[in-house]
Amino acid sequence: MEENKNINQGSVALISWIIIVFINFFQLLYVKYTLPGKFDWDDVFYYPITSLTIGILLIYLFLLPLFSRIRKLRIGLQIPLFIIHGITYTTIYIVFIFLQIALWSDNLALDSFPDAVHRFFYTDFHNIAKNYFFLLAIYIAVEYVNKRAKTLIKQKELENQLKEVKLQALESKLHPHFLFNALNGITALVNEDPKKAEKGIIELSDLLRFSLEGNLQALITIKEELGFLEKYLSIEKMRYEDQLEISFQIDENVDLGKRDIPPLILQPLLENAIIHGFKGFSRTLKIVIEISANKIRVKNNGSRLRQNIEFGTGLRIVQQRISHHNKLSTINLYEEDDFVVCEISDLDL
Amino acid sequence: MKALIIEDEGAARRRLESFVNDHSDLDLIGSASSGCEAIKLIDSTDSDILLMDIQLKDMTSFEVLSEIKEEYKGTIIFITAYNHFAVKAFEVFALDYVLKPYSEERLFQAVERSLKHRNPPTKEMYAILESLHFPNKICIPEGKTSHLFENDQIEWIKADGYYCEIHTVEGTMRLIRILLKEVHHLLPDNFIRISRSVVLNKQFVSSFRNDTSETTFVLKSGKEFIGKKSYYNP
Repeated sequence: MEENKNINQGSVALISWIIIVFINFFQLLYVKYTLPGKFDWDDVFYYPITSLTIGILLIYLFLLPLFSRIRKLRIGLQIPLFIIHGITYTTIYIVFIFLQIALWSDNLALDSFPDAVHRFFYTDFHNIAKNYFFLLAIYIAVEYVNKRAKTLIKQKELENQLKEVKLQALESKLHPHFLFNALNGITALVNEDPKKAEKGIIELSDLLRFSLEGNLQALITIKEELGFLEKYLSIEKMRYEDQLEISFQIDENVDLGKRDIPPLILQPLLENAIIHGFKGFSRTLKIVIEISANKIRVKNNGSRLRQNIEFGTGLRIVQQRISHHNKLSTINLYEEDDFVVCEISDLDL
Repeated sequence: MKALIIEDEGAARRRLESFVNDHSDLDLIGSASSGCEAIKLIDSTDSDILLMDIQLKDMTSFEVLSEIKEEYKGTIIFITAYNHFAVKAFEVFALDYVLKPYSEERLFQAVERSLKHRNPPTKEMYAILESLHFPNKICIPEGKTSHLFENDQIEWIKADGYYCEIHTVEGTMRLIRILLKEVHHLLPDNFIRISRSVVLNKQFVSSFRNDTSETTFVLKSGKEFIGKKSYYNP
């Protein structure tokens, strides 16, 4: 992908060189028409064609390979090397252009050749040197643009990674509210029922450990997920005691050992059922967790659904994670008989 | 002192009950395990002090206190698990509270303090409790009302006697009866007090000029404010 975004330095140099040659050609053409008699037709074509061929050959054989090599050196070395390179380029260019023009024209006057070259050196060296700097500037400009595009891509990647990490952090967080309430419950149990307090501490530690260190990307088996859920529920049970009743109904066809769900997708559903089920509800809250071959349902007999249902952060993240895992899976909230049901559909368990 | 306990979690409630029973000045006259029970209990008894969990399972303590027949006259000690902003507000308006999990000593201190001062619920208390429903918003209490603002909505605030002018990014202004000092303590850290009468939201400051004794702050909207070094850079 990165390769596509890079601009090829050679082709940019080539295109600009062709443009320059064409400008030169049209200029000669213009002079030919406005000042008749100054040029022959030959002159109008010779120079552009020779400078085109020699220029392109030099770009590919002499400029680009050495540019890339010199650019890799430290900056103090680069400047003198570029000067030497530039002078060499200009010399080769001038010598070859005269050689080609001389070869082309009928009268190959080899004896006067060095003299002509010499004279041209005096008058037009700076013009050719300008070409060199022009091509060098283009090379460095393209290099800069490419580097910038690369850093932008890298930055984007980093940002995406950061987003992912943030989302994960959000997912994996047990609510501080839950945590401190659980600790408070355990504090109360220390005197009343030390065994129960001990169990609470161990279960809360297991939850915390998974929440802090667990890998949220890897899929886990339903059995593992249920194990985690039981720890969470046993803490909630410790807090609410007989105000909360929880039961499981697991279909025989479900393969509990199948490694097929993202971790921690059930706990938010239960948390949701407990928090919203209890709202304005003063009887015992009954929660049933039903797992069948293609769906998971969490039912509670608590307070009714509100008219306009809007998922909280917890359910939204679960929705995102399960649909990432399986495009068809969705979460639905609805009422059935005396129960409010939260359903994850189209799973393959 | 007749005390009521309102706590929905069994073990925590029993711990509170034994604490109250052991306390020489307190006399437990009832305890409730839900907001619904609490309302009935408060209405049917005559208590002097409430030990009350803020987030009850079925309703919040705000709903309990606003649904009882008469305004509660005794003192209240709030028990809460975690809420950064609520704790800030409790401090500013001198409400008695303990954070979960709490030690008996901490609870004892809170009870002692509230027995000594005997400050009945203030109007701001209702506003603060109500604001707990909106944990992601900025809440400024005015009597029993809560004024809610989005986190990046307030641009600058100017004191005007007992009132504050709250200026928002939309260019509107709300006049609220509260002291600038109190407002400033309630706001998140990106608000700085730059002089006796002005608090700015740092997010909206585009530049500032330092002179010897004062600094000129320029907001993105173009408004300029003179800040005194003694305020924002002690």
